[in-house]
Amino acid sequence: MGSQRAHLWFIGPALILMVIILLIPIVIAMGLSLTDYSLGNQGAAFVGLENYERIFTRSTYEKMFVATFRYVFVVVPLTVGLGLGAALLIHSLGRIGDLYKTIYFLPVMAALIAMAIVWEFAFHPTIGVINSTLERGCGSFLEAWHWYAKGCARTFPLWLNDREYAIWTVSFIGVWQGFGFNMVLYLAGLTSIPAQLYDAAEMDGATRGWDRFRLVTWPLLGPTTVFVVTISFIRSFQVFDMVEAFYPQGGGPSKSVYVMMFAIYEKGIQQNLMGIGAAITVVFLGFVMVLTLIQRRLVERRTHYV
Amino acid sequence: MPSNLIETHLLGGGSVANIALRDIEKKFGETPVLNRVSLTIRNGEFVTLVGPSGCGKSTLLRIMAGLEAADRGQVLIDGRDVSDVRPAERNLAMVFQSYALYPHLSVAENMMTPLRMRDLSSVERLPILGPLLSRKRHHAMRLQADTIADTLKISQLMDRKPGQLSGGQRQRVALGRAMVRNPVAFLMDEPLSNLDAALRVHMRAELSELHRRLKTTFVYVTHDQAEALTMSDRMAVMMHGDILQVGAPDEIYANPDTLEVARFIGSPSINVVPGEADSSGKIDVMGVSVPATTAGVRQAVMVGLRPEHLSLHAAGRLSGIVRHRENLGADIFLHLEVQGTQNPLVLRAAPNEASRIGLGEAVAFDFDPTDMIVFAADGTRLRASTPAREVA
Repeated sequence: MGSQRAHLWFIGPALILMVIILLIPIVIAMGLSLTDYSLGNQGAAFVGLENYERIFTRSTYEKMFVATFRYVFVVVPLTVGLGLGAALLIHSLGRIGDLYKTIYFLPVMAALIAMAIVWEFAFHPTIGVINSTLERGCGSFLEAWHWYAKGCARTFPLWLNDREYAIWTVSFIGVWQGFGFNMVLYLAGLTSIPAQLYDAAEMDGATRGWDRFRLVTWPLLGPTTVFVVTISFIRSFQVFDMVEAFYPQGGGPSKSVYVMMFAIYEKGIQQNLMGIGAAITVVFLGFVMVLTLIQRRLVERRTHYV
Repeated sequence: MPSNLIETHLLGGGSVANIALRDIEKKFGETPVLNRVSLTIRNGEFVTLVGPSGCGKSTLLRIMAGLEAADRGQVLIDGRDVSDVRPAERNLAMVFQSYALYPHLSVAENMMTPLRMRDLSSVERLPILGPLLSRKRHHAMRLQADTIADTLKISQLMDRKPGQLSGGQRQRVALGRAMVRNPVAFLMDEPLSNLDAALRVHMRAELSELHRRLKTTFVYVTHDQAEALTMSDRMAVMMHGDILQVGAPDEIYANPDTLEVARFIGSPSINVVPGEADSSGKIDVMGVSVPATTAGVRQAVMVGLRPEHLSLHAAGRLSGIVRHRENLGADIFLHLEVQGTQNPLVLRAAPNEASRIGLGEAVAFDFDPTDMIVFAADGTRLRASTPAREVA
């Protein structure tokens, strides 16, 4: 009899841990998102879908979605593209490649919150290295560019504090920080491509680099790309520390950098509105879940050559 | 000389040099891989480059293909120096050890790739637009691939991906991809070494058959002397970056130029015993004195005797103790410990002769002196240069 239950002992510990540390918190968050609970209160009133209704109707949350999606759809393509490009270049190098690898990977290892201070300096409107460099170009042929001339006549943008520029500047830093990670993943993918396939492509008449890329490199990097894209999406949805470092008071100029993670933090922790914070978390989980499903259904089937 | 060249082309006979290698030298860093290797391969010939791992045979093949550049020397294809010509323009086809099929393409697409790369512009190769733009040509290519698939009996696999195929099927697809554009020659880099033993023997016959049918030049690299012996018209035995001997399999087996070649070709390998040649043209080996056809110079020699040249003989002049038996069904190989030799001698016996002989028994055996292959102490062959002057 005992042996018939043996399987429970094998799967039991993992199952219990999974339920306790993964499933129950998610269920609790879902439950909380239907209430107006705040930490310390005796009880909470059930408010139904009111929190969700707010998320999808109030302009603050509209700004949250706009900022998040702008960030995600700038950072993901650029980090993936640059990561692939850098990996291809480094892969074609010999020993010097290791040096570049380390350099490009540095921002990934560095704490973004520390790097944010450096960037804040660099983007400072008057003493920052970026605007003072731009000012040097005034009076040269660069003024033929309307935007540049305008900057010379008045001032160059307040990169981090201008409603028009803030989210793009933050995205730029996100790209700077993130592409090294993708590069490393792509490098691993590149080394796993059998060299004989390139020989075969050469014999088959793929003489140009582009042909070899289309015939061998890109298709064989398929599984890597799926992984890289998914990871990049999730990482971009999770951007928080930079926003917190630049704009501790509420998500940037006119809330133009009010990304989701920051909203959860502001509502749930700072303002102690656990209900709405939990609701945003559930929406966030939904996005990530959809992305993961898309990855599994659409792309994995076509890129794993079994 | 162009008229001459055209003439030989028109004749199209077996005498036309199809691929010629001249003084090929190659080093990887400081390590020499090929030392001034020259080889001429005739049109339509099946030539095998055979040698132990690391002898440079694959590098030589890759230099022929153009995947590797020689440090020195020339590669000529149909009389044209192709040393600076890209692999794709040499019109050779290669079959790789790992088959190197494109895993994301179906069998049909794999086989059509050489045609697509050659005959279509990059616009016509676009995924969906391409087939619409040049439907006729895509259709023609598909037909061509189908014809080849028919001859290789892989028509039913055309829509599968390489990952869904067995080793033997992948092998055929790789062959099909090579055949599809009628190359000047097929280069094969150990194509059978990833197959299981039974399939390997089967594919040997099939490749020979294919060669007879296509009448195209095959250059085949292998470390397996059995493949070289069974398939090739001529084989080139390579060791440490040199071609030691080129010739028909029979010729190399029966008449090796050096001790190394003799040892490498043949399985089980040749028995080598030390001997002493005297001025009368006789050789003293394992305590018996036998007449030899080598020049009568007094010197230490190495005598090679193939297992099939030793025979059990009740009145044999030699005797040994059976230390090991290998029963292969049709033959039994007896490993004999013989006085005066370091390694056991291997003797091939018929099952009816050897079935009653047990381990540890002493048996008498003998050999015909004309079967001896005699080498000098440095491993070079001593041939019957002039008949022995004095006959004892």
